[in-house]
Amino acid sequence: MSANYLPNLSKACINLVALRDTARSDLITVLDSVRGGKVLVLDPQLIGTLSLVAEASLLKEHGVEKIMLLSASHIEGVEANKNVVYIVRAAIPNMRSIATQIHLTEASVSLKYHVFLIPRRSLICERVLEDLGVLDSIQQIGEMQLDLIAFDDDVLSMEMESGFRDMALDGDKTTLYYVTRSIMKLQAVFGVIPTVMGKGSQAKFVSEMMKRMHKELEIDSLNVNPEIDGIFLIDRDVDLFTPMLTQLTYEGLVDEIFGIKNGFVEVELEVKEQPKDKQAQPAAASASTDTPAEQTRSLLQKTKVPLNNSNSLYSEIRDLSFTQVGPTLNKKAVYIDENYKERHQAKTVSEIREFMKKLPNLQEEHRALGIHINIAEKISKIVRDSSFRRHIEAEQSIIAGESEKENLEYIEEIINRQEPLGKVLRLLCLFSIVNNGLKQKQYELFRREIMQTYGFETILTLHNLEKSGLLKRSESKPYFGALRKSMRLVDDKEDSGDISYTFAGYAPLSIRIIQSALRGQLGALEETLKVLPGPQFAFQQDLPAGVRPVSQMPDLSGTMQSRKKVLLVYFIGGVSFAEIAALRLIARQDDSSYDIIVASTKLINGSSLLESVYERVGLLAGQ
Amino acid sequence: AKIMDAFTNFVDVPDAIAKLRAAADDFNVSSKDFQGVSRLCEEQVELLQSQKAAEEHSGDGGSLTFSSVSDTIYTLISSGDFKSAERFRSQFKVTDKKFWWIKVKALGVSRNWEGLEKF
Repeated sequence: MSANYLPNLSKACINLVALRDTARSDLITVLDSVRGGKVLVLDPQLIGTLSLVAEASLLKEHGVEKIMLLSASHIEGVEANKNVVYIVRAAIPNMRSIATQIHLTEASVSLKYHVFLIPRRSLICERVLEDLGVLDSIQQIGEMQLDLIAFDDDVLSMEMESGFRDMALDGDKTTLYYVTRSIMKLQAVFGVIPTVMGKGSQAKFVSEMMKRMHKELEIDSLNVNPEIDGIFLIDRDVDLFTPMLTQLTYEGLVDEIFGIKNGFVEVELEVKEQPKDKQAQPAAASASTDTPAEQTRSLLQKTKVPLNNSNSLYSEIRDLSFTQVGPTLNKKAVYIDENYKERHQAKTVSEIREFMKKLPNLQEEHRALGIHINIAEKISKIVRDSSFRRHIEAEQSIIAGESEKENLEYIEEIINRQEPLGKVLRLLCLFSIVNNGLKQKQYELFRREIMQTYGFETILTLHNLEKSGLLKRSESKPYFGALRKSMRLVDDKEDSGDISYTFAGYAPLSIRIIQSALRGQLGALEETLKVLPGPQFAFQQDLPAGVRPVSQMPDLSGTMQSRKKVLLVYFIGGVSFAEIAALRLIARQDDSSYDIIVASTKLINGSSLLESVYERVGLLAGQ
Repeated sequence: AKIMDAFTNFVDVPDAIAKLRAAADDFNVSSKDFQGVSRLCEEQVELLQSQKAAEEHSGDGGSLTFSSVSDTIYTLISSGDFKSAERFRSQFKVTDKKFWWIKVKALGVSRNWEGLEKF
């Protein structure tokens, strides 16, 4: 956990630092509840998210002498009676690892164990610890409420891996409880949110729970002027079309190809020289734990690159359509070069001083430029390949409702070529969702072909996809064609300034819905949107006496108009980077009177969404 | 669907076959879709048996069982056993197109240029 990589949140339209501070203080409370020096054992799934909350030095200040990742092996090199603090997600496999670790360690040394569960204590977990016979060795079991974490100055996420699966597959509503709790926490910090809108049955469930908790928590007694004017809750189920498509923004492609985890991407980059100053080192989130000695000079080096608005170059290119990334990087290179040249023109001492002041910034930009040129080249190689193009063409023709036969043949072909199963399933699901299901015969054909190629176990995955609605056998008429027209989902005019640039001509349905809500047209669309799952709703929450929304107050300069309203868009079940890009565009457009903040249970793309419902049993589990 | 879990937790080939047979029987009920699943289970039993037979024939234990039909054909072609590959193709009604792709890939990887030219 490096100190330098907490995202800088100062540009956020609401005070997200305050939100991060509450998470930090929760963490500190946990650490301080165990006196003295301690060993911290973290859930590998959590280390990335926690590194967005606190830096290593903060942990050290609160007595953490060593950080380890949770594993089922015994703890070495720790003196007797030392405190061991576990911070892990409340999941049964984690409890098993803890029990094994305690058993193995107890054979040689006796330590004091403390277990903190995220996001709350669960009886099942305690039962598992008891059954495995370690409950008596544990000094205390507590909980830590870690929910929404600021990934950027406009993105919050809970990063719950199994959120979508729990809801879609297992009908588990716990996630919805956490969602509601996270909204209540936001309201405690930023005031009651006056307008609540939404679409989807989970969204509706959350809004009802909000009303109930509103009364129970007596949130009215908080005397905070609301900073957030409205919240829009939307189920991932409402728009499953969009995530099945390949994202075509820069950040979207980085995620599709390399996978973005907790605001970082890990790529192999060519490193010309060993970086000298500290910031340039590939600071892995795990750097402070136990990275082996500094790697020797190699041409290719695995590098962890932070991806957030703290870097001005990245914030400029992240949401661009990939075709525009090259030219922009080029312009940037020329600009930096010119700035460096100023050094020669600087004659007087004060001119030189001016230049020196700019230098660190310039060097930082230069370094970022090098990294992103490197990444963009890698992506470019893939994107230019004919098989990638063919795939995008197939996606687009499915969305456009054209050449059904060719598209099915294409899917069959990629099965025959044994392309990755994920790629096949994503396209097949897209076809199914757009056409509101496959015909029984088609379904049986594909099931057979897929099993024959990828193995018998895939029958379970197919079953899960069907259960979660991603794959269907047609029972009713497709409605996507009508939606495509009425919501203007396909718009392939270039440079139209429309959000459809994010998928090269397809406007994400989810964002079209938000767009209509911002324009006050949602009511009129209720009929149109009825074909999508779940109810649509909107209501006002009463504000406590004496407070009023910040957006309605004159700002310091006394002008009423300059302050924008703030809308929080909460995706239940996940949101993709391209959708976030589209929302940013909407907020930036001239006629927008809103700043937008995105919250989600998880940052996803189509592949990770599908993978979350895969069945990993038998032979598949080992892979 | 819960029965499915049972037959992926097998110990060895005979065990898996027994579990699949039980599942096939369970699914062989009135519903049309279940019957489809039942047939698929039976087919998987056949696959396992044929794989086992092919392994015994070549004395190459464990290289085929539990792999998919495509992977089986791929392995057989790679090792030059075209006859057995053909047998699997007809037994499991592999489409011509799919067989073609597997063959190209297998011959390409094993650098059997001669074989590629012939076909």
